[in-house]
Amino acid sequence: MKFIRDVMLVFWLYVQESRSCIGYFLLSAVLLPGGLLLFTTGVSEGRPSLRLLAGSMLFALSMLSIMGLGSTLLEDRFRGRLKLILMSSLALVLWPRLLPWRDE
Amino acid sequence: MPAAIRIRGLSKRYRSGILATANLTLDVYEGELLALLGPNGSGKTTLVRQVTTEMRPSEGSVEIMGIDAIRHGQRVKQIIGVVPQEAELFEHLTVEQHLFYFALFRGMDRPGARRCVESAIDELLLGERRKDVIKHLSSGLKRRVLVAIALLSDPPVLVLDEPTTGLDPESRRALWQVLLERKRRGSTMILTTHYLEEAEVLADRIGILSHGKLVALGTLSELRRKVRGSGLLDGSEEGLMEVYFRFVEEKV
Repeated sequence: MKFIRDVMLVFWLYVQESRSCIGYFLLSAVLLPGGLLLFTTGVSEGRPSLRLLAGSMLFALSMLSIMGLGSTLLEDRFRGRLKLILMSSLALVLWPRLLPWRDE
Repeated sequence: MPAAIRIRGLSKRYRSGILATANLTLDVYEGELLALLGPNGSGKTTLVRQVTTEMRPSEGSVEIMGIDAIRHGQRVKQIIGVVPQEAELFEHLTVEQHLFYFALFRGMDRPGARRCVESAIDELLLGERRKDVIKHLSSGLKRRVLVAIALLSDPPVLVLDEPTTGLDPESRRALWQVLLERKRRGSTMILTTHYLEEAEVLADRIGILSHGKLVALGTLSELRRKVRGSGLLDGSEEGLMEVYFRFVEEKV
């Protein structure tokens, strides 16, 4: 089915494109909550909780993913990469909804 | 000769009230290369965006190879290749990866896509740089990759929006050779450009846009005759530059 195939292709295209920064992405997901946890245990008297650390990392990963996706979409819209994809013959179900500039 | 692209009464009014294209009517015949000239803001890119289904016209119709581009944009996309004016490539992908993914987007299977990639790489002379990531390429090579993407699957209609802007003379000439070869093979093309010599070398007919209107359309000699007929120029071999300025200044 072309729709599923196109979704997979776009996904793989972006995976390939972002391979170079995946390390920074994972590192920041560990460093950010890790630093915050150290800070909070430093200012409080309790013992560091592994559950809190794991939760913070998961939260950081989700936040970074959402921010990354948003900034990628915006960047690609203004750099014309999104247009390049949309001008290919994507599955009909995808393209009309993805053209915010069609009727400016 | 049958028209590959039929544009009738095409107008685009933006929400701001600006009329970008005003009641344009023109045919681009099969196997023809039509060059569109005009100053910045004359409506060239708006026209191209309407032809390539990227933008919906306010009025009028566009047919590509007999298919209504407004109603059946998806079908039209399968038979046109587009080189947009402002499009960047994916910086961390190689030339080969770009071509392969975009060939798959066009609905080809993997072996078919690989064949298309090879043919596009050969045609655009990208063989030596096929494994290079885009961020290491010059702007001329990046434009060549964009043209290669447009040529994948050998579309009968090509729309090129200022494909040579910002290129050095050598890269520009290399692209001209590609377009001339495509023309020889029967592709129909619309090319917008600011380089008048490009239009002189490549185009079968030249259209001049000004303030969203098509103020001139014809072969260079037809345009010269019109200018001469107006009595504004008396030389027998006016260059396109003189002809262009006469039309843009609406003195014809």
